Parts: sequence; structure tokens; C-alpha cells
Amino acid sequence: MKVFTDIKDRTFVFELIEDNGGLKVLQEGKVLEHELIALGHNRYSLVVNGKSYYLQIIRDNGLYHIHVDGEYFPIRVEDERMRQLRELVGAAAGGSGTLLICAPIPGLVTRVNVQEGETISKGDSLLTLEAMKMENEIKAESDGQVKQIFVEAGAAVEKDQKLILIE
Amino acid sequence: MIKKVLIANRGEIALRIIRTCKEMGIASVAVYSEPDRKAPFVYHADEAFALNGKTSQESYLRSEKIIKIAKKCKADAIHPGYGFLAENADFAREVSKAGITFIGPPPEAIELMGNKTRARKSMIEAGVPVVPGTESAIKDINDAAGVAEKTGYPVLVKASAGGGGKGMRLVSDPADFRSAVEGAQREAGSAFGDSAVYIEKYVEEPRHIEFQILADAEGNVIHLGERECSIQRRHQKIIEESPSILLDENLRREMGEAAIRAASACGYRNAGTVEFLVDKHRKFYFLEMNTRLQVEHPVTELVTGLDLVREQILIASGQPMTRQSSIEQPWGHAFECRIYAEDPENNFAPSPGRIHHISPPDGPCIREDSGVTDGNEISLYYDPMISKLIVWDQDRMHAIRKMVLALSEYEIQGIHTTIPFLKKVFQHKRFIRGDFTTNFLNEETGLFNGQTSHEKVAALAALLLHQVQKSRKKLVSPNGQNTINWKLIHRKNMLDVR
Repeated sequence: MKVFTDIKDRTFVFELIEDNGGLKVLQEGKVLEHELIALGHNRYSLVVNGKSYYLQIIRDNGLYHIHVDGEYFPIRVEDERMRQLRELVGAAAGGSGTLLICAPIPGLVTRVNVQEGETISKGDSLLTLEAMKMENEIKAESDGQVKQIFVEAGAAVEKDQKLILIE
Repeated sequence: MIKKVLIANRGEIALRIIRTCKEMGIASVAVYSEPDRKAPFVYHADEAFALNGKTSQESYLRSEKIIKIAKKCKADAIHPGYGFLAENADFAREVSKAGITFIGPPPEAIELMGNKTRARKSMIEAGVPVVPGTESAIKDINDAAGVAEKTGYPVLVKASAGGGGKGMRLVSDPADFRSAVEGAQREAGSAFGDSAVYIEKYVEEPRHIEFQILADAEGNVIHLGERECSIQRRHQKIIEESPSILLDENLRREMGEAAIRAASACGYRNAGTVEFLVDKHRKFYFLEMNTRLQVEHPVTELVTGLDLVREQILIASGQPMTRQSSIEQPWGHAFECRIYAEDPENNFAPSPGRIHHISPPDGPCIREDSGVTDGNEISLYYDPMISKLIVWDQDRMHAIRKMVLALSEYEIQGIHTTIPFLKKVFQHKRFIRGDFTTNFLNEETGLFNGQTSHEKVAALAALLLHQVQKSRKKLVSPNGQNTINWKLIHRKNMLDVR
């Protein structure tokens, strides 16, 4: 069975073979001798072909968040079937022309810079969010028209709260 | 001698001041806001009083309430830390009026250095070089645009009451000038309650190098060498070091003397920092004087062997400083990293949340000044800096290696931090060579999405954990062959530790 691991725009493909109840892992045809042991508090020890690693792994929102040696990777794991399924769904959804902009961080809306119905171009400032005493501009990622605004200046918003709908 | 100190601050700096108080046999008093009730500085202090309220305005900025508490608990001194009321001359004055010692400079010095226009004038008089720019705060935006035109772009728009990068904008294109001024004014208004801004010329290939000053009640002023703070993001320092690779003995002496002149010119007393910009021609310009203890003071402590908070308390008590002469030659090399609760993968967005687990690195000459511990909540109300990691070694190269190791060992779960990003900076060729300016992070955009060495290992770990979790589901559901898979159960048990 093939399994895909995505780290942002990079993908590593592993081959898994059930081996007498155990699991043989191959990458590019080479066997990876492996042992993953939990140490508690989301901490793990992984030994691969004699090399020893210490990791912290937290599963959240369908992703594995991995910290190793001061580095951080958000990773998605899926087998071939799941991947095909997701790509099919993605292709179907890609046709619709609206984009919902949500708050990337919790904060205070200090200014809304657009109005409903306004035509905007990529890079335009849509609104300003203040958090931890710094202003963060939310900019348009593409050209379009402002269909709906869900917040007004002065509003406190949670992470992922709906802000603006772009058409 | 001072017997009891109230610390009008929070987080790592409050705890750091408490530690020195304890060493000196001085009682410490914490004041805290609602979200900070569980913070270490509250339970490490000898006494603690609630300020109530959540925001800074409702808590750490309420000077009259803090003074009232100090009087009630009979504290004979107040240490303001940095930020909040540290550079508020009115607060310093009110503290003195209440018969309490303010551990910091005289209010007149705070006022003079807090007013960029007056500071500039007095620096010119004292023979300290300054950067060309506007003489007074901007009232009319059209006049301001005229001044910017005359000084020549790029220009910096800065908050008069500012500091710490808040209320500051760099403008390269005249078309952006208006919105930059408005943005800076808004930010300054919300951070300092004063929206006045001014303009100055942007110095070419600038490096930020500052000098630590100590001045006692007798008028003796000494410097403790420099700190280089050129690695900045959005004009906020993130990495500091001492000594600077740029300075030789001559330039150090020249700048140190200028720093002492700057401090003497404003009748300074206690610990302070004179900031300079040094351009590509090794010419230096006075930037500002910070009339308080700096966030990055530990690097100076490690290369001088002095405890700056102890020096502050000695000076405020009218005692002699530990040493009477400047430090011409620092000992070894020190770095500091500021660790922020920000997500470097998501444009450094604030990452509030609960810290599930934190375990700082350890080892020879590694120091961590932290304000948080397991279970603490990082709230949106305050600055996102949660801790400072400081290392010392015999020279710069060894200190870099030590910092990489320390960052690699730092464990923190529950929130995102800038640790992975900081590690990339310390491994960057230009950084290692010392070849950088304050624009380093703008130029090296690759640092924000560069590849790292452990991707494959991380991918494998994710895969293995994923498979185990899948097989665990299989184990509890009826198995087609009705066999029990001992190996899988063994695996499951190995991964079941909580």
C-alpha cells in the first residue's frame, strides 16, 4: 500500500507492506528499520536505521504537528484511496467563484477598508486586525467583488470567524 | 538600603527582578492582572496584590492604583521593568511624591529622552552625532510630506512617544506616505496614548548598536560595552549579541564616550541604554536613549559578570556601583533570542493558547529568562514575548553553536513559537559571518520558507503514528479472521503512555 505524507508543498511517498503482523516501511525501494516509542506528554523516541530522534507530535485538525530538533512540520498523511477521493472533491469545489475570508488570528477589528459591492484587486487592504498591540492587514488574495461583510470596526473576533465574502 | 520592592510589571522581567531581590535579601511585591493570576512571577514574589482588569489599561498602566498598593504594603521602592510605566515621567514623579524610591532615572531625564525633538537638540549640543530629519512632531500631514520630500526617501515615520517598534513605518515610495503616517499614528495612539509622529532619514545599510550605561548618584557615568541588535522583524529586535562583530577597540571607545556624553547631558542616573545606528561607512548616529532596563540586558550581564538589576537597586539606594570604570573589553560572547508566541508558518500571526508542556534547554552557560510555565495561558492582552534564551561561550562561533543546540532542545507544546525560525537564522551563512544590517530579515526571505533537514524523519513519524492509530481502530472492531494480533497490541501498548 502506498501512503503519502505532505509537508506543505513537499510530498514523501512510503510503501507499506504488512509483514507478519508488523509493518515494513520502504522509501524509494529501501527498507526503513523503525521503532517509535511514546514517552508521554506527546513526546516520542524514533529510531530509524540506527539513528535516534526525539520528537513531539500533536494531532490536531487532521494534521500531525511535529517538532523535532527545534524544527516544526505540519504533516498530512493519507493512503492512495483517500488522496484520490480528496482530489476529486477538490476539483468539484474548485469551480465555484466565492472566497470566504476568515480571521487568521483572534483580535480586534480596528478598521474595515471596503464596502459591500466594492470591486477589489489583489493586494488591496480589506480590513485591519489588531492583536497583541500590533496591526495586521488582511489583504485580498485575488481580484473580485465584496459580496458580504460579517463584521464591523470595533468588533472582537475569534480565530476562523467569518470576516468577508469575496465573489 | 531598600528593603521592599514592588515590581510594576509582569512576565519574565517581573520574575527576573524578583530573583535579584531575593538574592539581595530584599522583599518583593507582585501586582497582577486577572489573566496573570497563575503566572510564576505572582507565586514567586513574597507578596502579591490584584490589580483586577484584563487589558494593560485596566491593570499594569494604572499608576495611581499601583502606588496605592505600594503604600499599603509599605514598599520603599518600585521597579517598573520595561514597557508599561517604565518610561512614564509622571509615574516616576508620583512615586517619588509618595515617598517611594523609583528604581530608574530622574523624571526629567525620562521626559527629555522621551521627547525625540528635545533629545535631539540636547544631543547636538553635547556633541553626539544624530540622523538628519524633522525637528518636531508632525501636526499637518501635508507639511510632513514636504519634509519627507526634502530629507529624501526612504524615510522612517516614528511615534514620538514610541519604542519597541510600535508606531513605526518605513516609507520608500512617496505614494505610501499618507497611509503610513496614519497607520503609525493609530498604532502609537493605541500603544502609548499619544499619536504624535516625526520623520527622519533612513540610514544606509544600518546596524543597530547600543551601549549600556550605568550612572550613580554622585554623577559617575560608565558604559558596559555594546549590544548589537540588528536582527529585527518589523523593527522589533529578535536577536541580540555582545560584543558586536563590527566594533574594534577604537570604535568601541569612541561610541562609548559618546554614550556617556549622552547620559551626562540629560543628568542621567541608574541603568540606561544609548542606541546608535552605524552605517556602511562605520559612521554612528544617536538614535534614542532608553531610560530603563532593556529586554536584552542579559547579554551584557553574561559578558561583564554584572547583575544589572542589582546595580539598579544599589544606585537607587545611593550605594556605590560594583565598578567605577567602563568596560573596554567584554569577556567572551553572548547571544539572546526572544521567543515569541507567534506562528512563523503563518506570517508570524499571534498564537495565543494554553501551554501544555514546556521544558527549556539546559547545559553549561545556557540561561532562560521565562515568564511562563506548564498550564499557563498566553493571552492576547499583552506582548507575545514569552521567554528569552541566552547563551555564553568563549567566542562568537562557539556561542552560535551553543544557541543552535539550545533552540533544538527547547520543548514547548500548545502554542506556536518562533523557535524554528530563530534556529534557521542562527544557521544562516550571512548571520554566521556577521554580514548583516537591520534589513537582514527583509532581504533573506528564504528564511521564512526554507527547507530543513528533518522533513523525512518527521514524515516517517507521522506515518507510523497514523498507522498505529488506524490499527487501533481495527483492533476494537471485529476482525474478519477472528485472530488477535499480538504484535499490533504490543505496538499499541508501546504508544499508549500518557
